[in-house]
Amino acid sequence: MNSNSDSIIRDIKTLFFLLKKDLKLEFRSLSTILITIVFTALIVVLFNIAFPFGVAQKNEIISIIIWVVFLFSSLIVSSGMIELDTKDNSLELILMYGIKSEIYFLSKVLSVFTILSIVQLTIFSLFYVLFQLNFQNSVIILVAILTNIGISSITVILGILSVRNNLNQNILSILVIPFTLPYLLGAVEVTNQLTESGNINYILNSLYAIVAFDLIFLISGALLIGVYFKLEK
Amino acid sequence: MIKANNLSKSYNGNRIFSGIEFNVEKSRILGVVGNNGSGKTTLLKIVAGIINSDTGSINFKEKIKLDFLGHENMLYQNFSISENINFFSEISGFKICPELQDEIEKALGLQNILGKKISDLSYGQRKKASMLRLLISDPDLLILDEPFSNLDSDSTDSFISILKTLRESGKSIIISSNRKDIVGSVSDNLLNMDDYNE
Repeated sequence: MNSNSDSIIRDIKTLFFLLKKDLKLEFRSLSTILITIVFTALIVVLFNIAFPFGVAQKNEIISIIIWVVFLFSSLIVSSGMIELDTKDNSLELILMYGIKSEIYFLSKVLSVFTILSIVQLTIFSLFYVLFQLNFQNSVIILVAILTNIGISSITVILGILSVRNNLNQNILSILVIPFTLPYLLGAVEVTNQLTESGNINYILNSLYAIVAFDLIFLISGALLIGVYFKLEK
Repeated sequence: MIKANNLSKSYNGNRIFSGIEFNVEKSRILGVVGNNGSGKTTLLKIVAGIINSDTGSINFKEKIKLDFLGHENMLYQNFSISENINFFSEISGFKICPELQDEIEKALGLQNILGKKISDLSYGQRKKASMLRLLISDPDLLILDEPFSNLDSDSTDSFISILKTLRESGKSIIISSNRKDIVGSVSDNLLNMDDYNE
């Protein structure tokens, strides 16, 4: 086996160890999951009360609510996941042991993605009950997975930058909007089409755009965090 | 083993220290002393490779394994001591030698609390748990930042005797503290950071 494949196997193992650590810590305390579920459930219930039934363009509005709520949920989850490593400075040890910043970034994206997916499963069922939305088209699962990847990537990038610089967490919610607006518009459009007509022919272009954004966020995030950690040294 | 030349560091335009030079040979302890804010932690982090110096260089005569014990315990509070040790051994790739682990656990008096969460330990126990994490990796050079801070006299004595044993077994150590009396009693050389501040 050559050194390149050794290095790749080592990186995959490290990614797995970092992810396992994050999830184990989170499932032990459940703090981030519970806070996020309560936060999102509260917003969904409030909208249900405020939202008059039978209003025109109901599906469109709900699709917007879904993704905006998940975007802000992802901010909470990202901050929680990053603080696990910065609270007692164990991140310094992780980096001192020569863990690649790209691997660290990807592990955080996967942690946030997993937690966010759990939150989504809970909240989607709430949307189904409260708004009688039709989520029977299984393509919605693909849309949720793809959009979660992008949202997780962008909030992890902003989360690392803000936590490491002791920036106020509130600034995240301001920064995240311009970055994610074009991306979320695609997700909203796709969700709206799926809940309304269920026809996937109309959404292919938006789906491709979401995939393209996912790749851009993942690659640029890995590069940006690498440069940031180097500069911070 | 390690030679530092002309190290300097500034933060936001303020020079913390400049012109630092030192050698650490095998089986030697270098004590780094100085007042609060003199740059002890910064210097140790530079040696550990956690941060870069503005000028100068650190040369290692041979390929060595080093490890760092920071001000904070650098352990996950919701993990037990064992879980922390396992995690750091997994990501750093070092293999735990069970005999060495037993020996260090006994020396630090941690055998009965390995399953306890870090958040449930006393300050002294947390410090020892961090020391265990560091020693199990079996480094050639140990970099210890303020290991005696907030320790009672018994724990301090047991730390000093561990450091002496490590030196006898061929380890090199760089240790910082603002308690010159304690560091002076165990070090072969002293580096006073106050002499390099501007």
